[in-house]
Amino acid sequence: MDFKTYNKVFARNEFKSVVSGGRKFILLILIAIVSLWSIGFSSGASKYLKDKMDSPFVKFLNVDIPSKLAQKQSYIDELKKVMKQDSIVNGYDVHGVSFTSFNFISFYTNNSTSSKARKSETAKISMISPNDEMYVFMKSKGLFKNDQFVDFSVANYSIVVTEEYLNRLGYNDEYPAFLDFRFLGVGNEELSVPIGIAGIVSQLPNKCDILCTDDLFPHITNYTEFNILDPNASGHLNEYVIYTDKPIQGIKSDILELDPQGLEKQSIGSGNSYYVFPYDSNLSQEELDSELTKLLGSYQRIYNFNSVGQIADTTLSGVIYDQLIIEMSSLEQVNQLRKMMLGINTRFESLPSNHKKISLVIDMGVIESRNNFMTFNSVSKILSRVLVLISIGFIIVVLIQTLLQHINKNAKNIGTLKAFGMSNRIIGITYVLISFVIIGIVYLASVALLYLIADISTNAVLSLVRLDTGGEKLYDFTVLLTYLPFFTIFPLLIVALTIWLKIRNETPGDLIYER
Amino acid sequence: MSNPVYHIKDLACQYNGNSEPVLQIEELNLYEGEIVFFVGASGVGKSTLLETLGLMNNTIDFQKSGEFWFENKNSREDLREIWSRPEKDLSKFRQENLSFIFQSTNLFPNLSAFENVLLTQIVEGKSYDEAAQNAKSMIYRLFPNQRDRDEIVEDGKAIMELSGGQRQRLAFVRAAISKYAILLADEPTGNLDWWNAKNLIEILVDKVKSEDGVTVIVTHDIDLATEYGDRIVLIRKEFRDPKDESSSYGVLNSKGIFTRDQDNWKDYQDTSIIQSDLSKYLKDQLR
Repeated sequence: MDFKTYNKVFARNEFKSVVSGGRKFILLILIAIVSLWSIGFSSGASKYLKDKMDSPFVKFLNVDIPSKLAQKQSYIDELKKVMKQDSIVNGYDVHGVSFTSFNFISFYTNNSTSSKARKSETAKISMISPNDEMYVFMKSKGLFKNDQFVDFSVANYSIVVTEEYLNRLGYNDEYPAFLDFRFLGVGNEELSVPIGIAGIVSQLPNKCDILCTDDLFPHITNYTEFNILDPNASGHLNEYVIYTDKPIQGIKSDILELDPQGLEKQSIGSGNSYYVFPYDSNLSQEELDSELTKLLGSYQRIYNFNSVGQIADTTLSGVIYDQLIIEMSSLEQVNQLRKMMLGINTRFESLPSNHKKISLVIDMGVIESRNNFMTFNSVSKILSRVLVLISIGFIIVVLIQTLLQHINKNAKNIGTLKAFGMSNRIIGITYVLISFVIIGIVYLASVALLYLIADISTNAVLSLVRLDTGGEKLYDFTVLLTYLPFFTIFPLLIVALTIWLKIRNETPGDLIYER
Repeated sequence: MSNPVYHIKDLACQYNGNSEPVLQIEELNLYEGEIVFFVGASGVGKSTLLETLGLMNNTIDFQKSGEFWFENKNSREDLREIWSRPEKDLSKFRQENLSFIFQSTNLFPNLSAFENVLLTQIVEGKSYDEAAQNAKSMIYRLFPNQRDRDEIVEDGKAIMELSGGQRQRLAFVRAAISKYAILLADEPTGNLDWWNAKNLIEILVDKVKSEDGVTVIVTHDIDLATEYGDRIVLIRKEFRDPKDESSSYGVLNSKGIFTRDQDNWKDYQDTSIIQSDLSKYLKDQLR
């Protein structure tokens, strides 16, 4: 049979005849939209939850330390001791504790990114020691995504930043070597300082955007005359730092070729696309700058930090730890730990009685959100599967009803075709293909409409149930492809079987003379 | 006379569930190149005969039936057994050997007039261009009016817009342009005026004589049958119980077969009958 001609003359007209008066097919599309939406929503919610569950920091609990207590170093020291007692470590599954502080500051896109408009975004920045348990945990889990990750112990004046924060700054598909930090230095001089990026991660605990060392933290949150970032301050770093996005090897060889008086070229260390090297302090600042600018002029940023060693201790003494981070071995005892922490200050005999009454509250938000999402996820999964079954069932019923009605109505025509020698196989294939096209149109139309409305409707539902995904798109389109076989093959098999049973024993005479 | 295309002997035809045959055929042979008219009163089994010959229904009572053969240059088929073979064999046989003109035309209302006439050739596997070319040449012979032809061929006129006569001519075109050994026509001229009926039958006669097919026509038009038939087969009504009208059945035997003998006719005893007498006799039988 010439199928092109067959399609042109018969199958296409038959398709039009089957779908004529297509109100029921609009209904099919609506049903499919509802079920496909529920599938995408359920899958998206499931993935979102999985991300939450997979968060490496899910076992890190945050406890805000009220400012009255945070300012007392003796309290922090004592709290550190108490939290490491065996009764707490073993009784509540505590793996370790650390102290931190956080603040909100702005960073700018760096100067070298000429194609980007200069942009700044506020970041929640948290402090961490290179020996801190959480930092060690992050390294052990391999959470750093950039190939040229540098340990804080080497690059202690750099930052770890989240991809999401870089996205907000406009770095969508690139990892910059550094960000710019702007502040008013000595004499209110407006300064812009490059801060190297040591590591890039997917997320940080406590919704932080940036982690920095306890060396750097006080200098970007609290400007003093000892600020090492300020070249005019007395505590400026005694090192040159070249920031660049150029490949390491090229820069290294360039620098090794330099021979300015006083540069110790053998001791060049490499960072995350930036280089730190000491210089002879006998060389005047102007001479060194001039030499470097002449020889390294092709690099985007050259910066000189002076005398960090002289002021480090003085500066660090000003750090206030306002947050306790508890790393749990498991979350089974978390509710008991929460209760215990509420009254933990009563254990400190040296505290005044009014301070003993201050409670330390564990932030249970992440855990509660996780529990809510688990419930929500289970319900939405069940609901979506039920809807899928109803939808597929509905498609099957409507298709079979429509096709059988059509076949009964056109029994004489089908009998005539059989009388002229058309086989049951060709007739069956024709109606299965018609069903396939109908299902395809229903599926594609549903997906196309969902493409337009999925995000809006998902957000509407999320706001109804008061769930916040932090702007993350929840609807998962990719899962729709995996359901395509269920929406096509299964109904088509049922339709094919039904049509086969209908026509296989019908003779042309029975159909033509309607016996 | 050449070998028969169809050879039937002692065939009892019935429908499922009926214990008694509705048509009894003692002997019938259909030969290449002849037009055979079947006549008989209403309810005598003419449609049953067409369904049996056209393999539209398995009406053969195997317990009581003798022989039912199809034969052509390439093969010989025992048609009593064809119903027990796979459906594709039956379809292939129908497609290669049979064509039909139905009393109610059985044109497809959801196809245009021209698409309708292409169907049989599409089943045969012809390309659109070839099918369209064949259809056009036959349409031109049956629709002498240029405007009618254009409306069908060029304008895609719908079936519902055609008159009964036009539909009948289209049904004829659809059947006649297909490749067949036996064309089975049920009242093909019922809705046509004399001129169109005559034109249609003459085209059919030309085709039968030139292509050696067999044409079987069931009709009530005795004048047409005596004018153009090579043979006329009268199916008689008989009763198993003379007192019971519902016990009737059709009988097709040699006594009802009349063969053309130049301008006259011969009955089974070779007695010559003039055409007007045969016509009168058959009309009396149909009353």
